[in-house]
Amino acid sequence: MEAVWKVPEGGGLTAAAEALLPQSGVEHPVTAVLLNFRAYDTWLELGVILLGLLAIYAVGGIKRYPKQNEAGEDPLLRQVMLFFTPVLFLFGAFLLYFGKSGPGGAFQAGVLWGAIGILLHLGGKLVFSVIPRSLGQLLLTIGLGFFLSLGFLLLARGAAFFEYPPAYAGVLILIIETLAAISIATTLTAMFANLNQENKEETNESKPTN
Amino acid sequence: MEIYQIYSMTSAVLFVIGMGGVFMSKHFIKKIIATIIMGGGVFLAFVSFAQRDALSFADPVPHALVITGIVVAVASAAFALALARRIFQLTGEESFTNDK
Repeated sequence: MEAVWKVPEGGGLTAAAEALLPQSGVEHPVTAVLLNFRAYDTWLELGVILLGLLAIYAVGGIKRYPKQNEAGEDPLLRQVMLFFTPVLFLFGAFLLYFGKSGPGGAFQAGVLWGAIGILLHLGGKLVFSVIPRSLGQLLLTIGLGFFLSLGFLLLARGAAFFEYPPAYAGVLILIIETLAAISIATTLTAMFANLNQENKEETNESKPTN
Repeated sequence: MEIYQIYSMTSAVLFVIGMGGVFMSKHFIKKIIATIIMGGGVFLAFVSFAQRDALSFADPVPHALVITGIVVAVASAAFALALARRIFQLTGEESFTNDK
C-alpha cells in the first residue's frame, strides 16, 4: 500500500528551470517552459488544434451557405455584444502581455479572443462570412507557420531548433505568443462556427417532400 | 496530510467519475462530457503533483503540459461533437446500440 501511495521526492525540474530562467527572456517559469525550454511541444500543440479543425471540416458534411440570422436584431444581445467585445479584447491583450511576468500568455488570450468570435457568431454577426476566405486561412495558420519558419531560421543560423538567442528571446516570445493567440482564437471560432451551422442533409430532411 | 494530497485524491475521484460515465452512459453527448471530466481529473493530478515539493515555485513543466493539454482537450471535444452530430445525421442513432 505504501508503494502505491508514496510519490517520489526530488523537486522535478524546478531547479533546472530556475537556473535557466534569466536566459529565457521572460520572468514567469511556466511561460519560459512553454515558449522557450519546451517550445517544440507548444508548436506541435498548435498543429494539433489545427488538425482538429481540419478533422471537424472533414466529418462535417456539406455546409449550407451561411446567411445572417435574425438574432442580430435582438437589442439586448446587441448591447451584450457591444459591451463584452472590447472588454474581452482588452483583457485578452492584457493576459497576453502579462504572460511575461505572471500567469497568462498565448493560450489564455487565445481563448478569450475566441470567446469574442463565438459571441459575435451567436449574435448573428457571422465572422467567417464577413472576412475573405484567404484571410481566414492566413489567420488560422499564422501561429503554426511563423513558429515553424522561426525554428528553421534558427536552425539555418547554426542554433538548435527553437534555440532563441538570449538577447532577443523576450521579443521573439512576445511575437510568437501574439500570433499563436490569434491562431488559437480563430481556430476555436471556426470550430464553433462549423458546429453551429446546419448542413445540407439537415435542410433536406426538414422538407416534407423528402 | 498535505494540501497537494487533497487535490490528488480529488483528481482521482474526478477521473473515476468520468470513467464511470464513459462506460455506463449510452448517449454520445454524455460519453463526451464524461471524457472531458476524466481529462479534468488528469490535469488536476498533474498540477497537484507539481506542487508536492515546491522549492521556490512549483514545477513549471507539468503546468506547461496542462495548459497545452486543456486547449487540445477543447479541440478534441469539438471533434467528438462533430462526429456525434454526423453520426446522428446519417443514421439517426444517438448511442451505440447492439440490438439490431
